[in-house]
Amino acid sequence: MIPLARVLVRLVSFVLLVLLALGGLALAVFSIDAGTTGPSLARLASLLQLDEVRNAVGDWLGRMEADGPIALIAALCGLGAVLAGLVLLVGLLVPRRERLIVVSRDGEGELAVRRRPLAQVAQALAEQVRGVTEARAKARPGRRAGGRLRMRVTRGPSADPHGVHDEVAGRLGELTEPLGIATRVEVTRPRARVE
Amino acid sequence: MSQAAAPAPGQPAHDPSDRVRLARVALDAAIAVPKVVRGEAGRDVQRVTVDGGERLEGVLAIAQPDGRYGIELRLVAQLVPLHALAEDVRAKVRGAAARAGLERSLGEVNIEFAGLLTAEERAAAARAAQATALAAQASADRLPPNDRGDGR
Repeated sequence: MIPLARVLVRLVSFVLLVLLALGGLALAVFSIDAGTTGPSLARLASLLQLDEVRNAVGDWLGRMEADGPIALIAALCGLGAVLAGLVLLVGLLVPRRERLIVVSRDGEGELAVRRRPLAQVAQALAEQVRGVTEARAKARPGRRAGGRLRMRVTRGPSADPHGVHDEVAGRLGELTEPLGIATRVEVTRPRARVE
Repeated sequence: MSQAAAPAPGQPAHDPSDRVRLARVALDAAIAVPKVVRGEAGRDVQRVTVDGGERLEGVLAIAQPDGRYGIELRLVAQLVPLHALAEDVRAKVRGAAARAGLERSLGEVNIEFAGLLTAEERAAAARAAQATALAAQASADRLPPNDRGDGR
């Protein structure tokens, strides 16, 4: 949720900055002249059809004051805008926090490992197992300490799935058990390849 | 009123605080441990201490409520049992702090492993570093004598 909010903040701020730049450029260009023709503000207002926009918006706002489907749409849009604003605020204000797998914590201090290197090492170990053609690992920290490692390996067509599972689990155990990380290994069949 | 004495030859021109001295001592001790490859600053929450213009990457000394300084180390290490390696690093850091007369200032030593290198990755990193050094050397050799900045 929070990573999504951060992406939204980046996207919205980029789009708003582009719009601001374009608007500023248009204003600068149309401020060259002072008349109602040529590059003037009056000409810009005419190009943007501001009169018609004002009438349309005024009419719409007038209908929104009364009960009816437009008022309902407006209420829903307002609610959506509030929610979008809250999401953007969360993405902007919630500090970044690195998700570490805390291996041990005592009076001497804390020992932690980042998720990605742990997953990479686990992948490298799994790919050394005979019969494994591909390995994908995902490590997640636990609530207090330790964590979970989910390993998905693809076996070759002739490899025994149980043998591959046991071998991969054994190799990963040497890495994860001392760190208090629970391991789950899934062995999948090779995907059919059409050439 | 006494005046500050000029730094002796070979001594740093600035007088680092206990916090900075502790950070440097801890990082040097940690990197000296076999199987520790380097310190790493990180991206979001950086472990960097600035010592007189020099960046010490991979270490941060933070004041604790009891008046001591906790050390945060972010290290890249070889793929070895991490508990034992962390204990070794802690022991070396405490020993180095004691030799520097800073043992009373040292609090917790938190260790984060930011990278674990397999033997192949370690060899590849060494080859890349060697290639970079050779390229830099070749580039320096190609420069005409006047451009080398040695005044000759």
